[in-house]
Amino acid sequence: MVEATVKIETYRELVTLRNGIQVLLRPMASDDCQTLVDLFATATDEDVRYLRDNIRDPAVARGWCDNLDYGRVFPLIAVVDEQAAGQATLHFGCGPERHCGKVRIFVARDFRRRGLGSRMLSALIDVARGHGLQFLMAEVVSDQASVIRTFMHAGFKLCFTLQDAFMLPTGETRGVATLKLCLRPPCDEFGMPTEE
Amino acid sequence: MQPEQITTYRNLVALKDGVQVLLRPMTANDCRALTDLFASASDEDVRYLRDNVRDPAVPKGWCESLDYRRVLPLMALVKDRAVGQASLHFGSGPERHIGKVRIFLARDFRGRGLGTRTLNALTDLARKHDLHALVAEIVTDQARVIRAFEDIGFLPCCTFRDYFMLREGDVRDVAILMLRLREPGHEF
Repeated sequence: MVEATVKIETYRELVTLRNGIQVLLRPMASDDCQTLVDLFATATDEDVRYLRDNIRDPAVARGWCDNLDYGRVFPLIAVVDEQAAGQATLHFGCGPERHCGKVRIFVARDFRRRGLGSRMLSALIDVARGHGLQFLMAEVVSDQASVIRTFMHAGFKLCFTLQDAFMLPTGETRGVATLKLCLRPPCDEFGMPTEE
Repeated sequence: MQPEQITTYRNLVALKDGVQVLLRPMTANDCRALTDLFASASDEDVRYLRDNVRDPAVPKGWCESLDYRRVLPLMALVKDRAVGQASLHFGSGPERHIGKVRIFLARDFRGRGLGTRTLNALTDLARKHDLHALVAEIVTDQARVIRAFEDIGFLPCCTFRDYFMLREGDVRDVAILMLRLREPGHEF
């Protein structure tokens, strides 16, 4: 884990989007607070409705930057000309879930449908493999059909939907779809690859 | 329900065989009683628990970081002996309407109705906290535990394949069961 942590700190990837724009993917650092605040200020009411945290509150981004721990959560930031175009996180499981990771992603509205989300997700998948994780999970509110489809396009499979598991800021509840990406082929008891 | 109201919670329940058990919130002074309770855990018990409860540092950590707004732990006591422990873990953010329950019973107090009474007590406390639902996550190997939860009204929602990794690295499926405490709102 120590070696993996060192690799995380030095991780850099320059990706080119479909329209030719180059985006630097790198780990979030403690001095990224204002960059994040500016990114999340672009979030719409609809975005915030389906996120776990009220990211438009600057205290949220500040809390994340003040409590960085790459062994617990690996946050990736996508930067174009010193402005953040997206942020994604890989949350490492612990105890009996130490072989699993959860991913979350937020992309600025003007960078959606340009391939940035997929690039960030690929980067997190690489980091997860580097840590020996066996699978990744994504939990998406079932209203967000296009987000679910995007994860499925990236190879995630829909496992189940838990009804009424997500409470919106208004108090209404929504189902949560749990999607899973296997990072190793599943094996039977003799170690032979099996279909999931 | 305020944390100060929780501290005064007491519930004396009678088991099927007449033994009386006091259910009360865990306190910082319960470390010794908990350590003794978990010392009786078998290898099979520990295999399916999230924490290595036989390590005295685990109950010590729980007793030192009590926060009833986050986790409400109940002790089941016969005289001064802890015969069970259960906890209600309050969700936060978009899961603020959901609680997760966990339970452990001393081997000689299983099959006597203590689990049912303890879970009923946690359910009452969850209702007083206005929770909408309780969730239990159980390794599918533990068919009897799953049936016990079903007997008190939990319904199986889904099974998550390979979600629980045992200490030796084998993985097991996890059944997710839910008890609704209120019906979801409907559009009409």
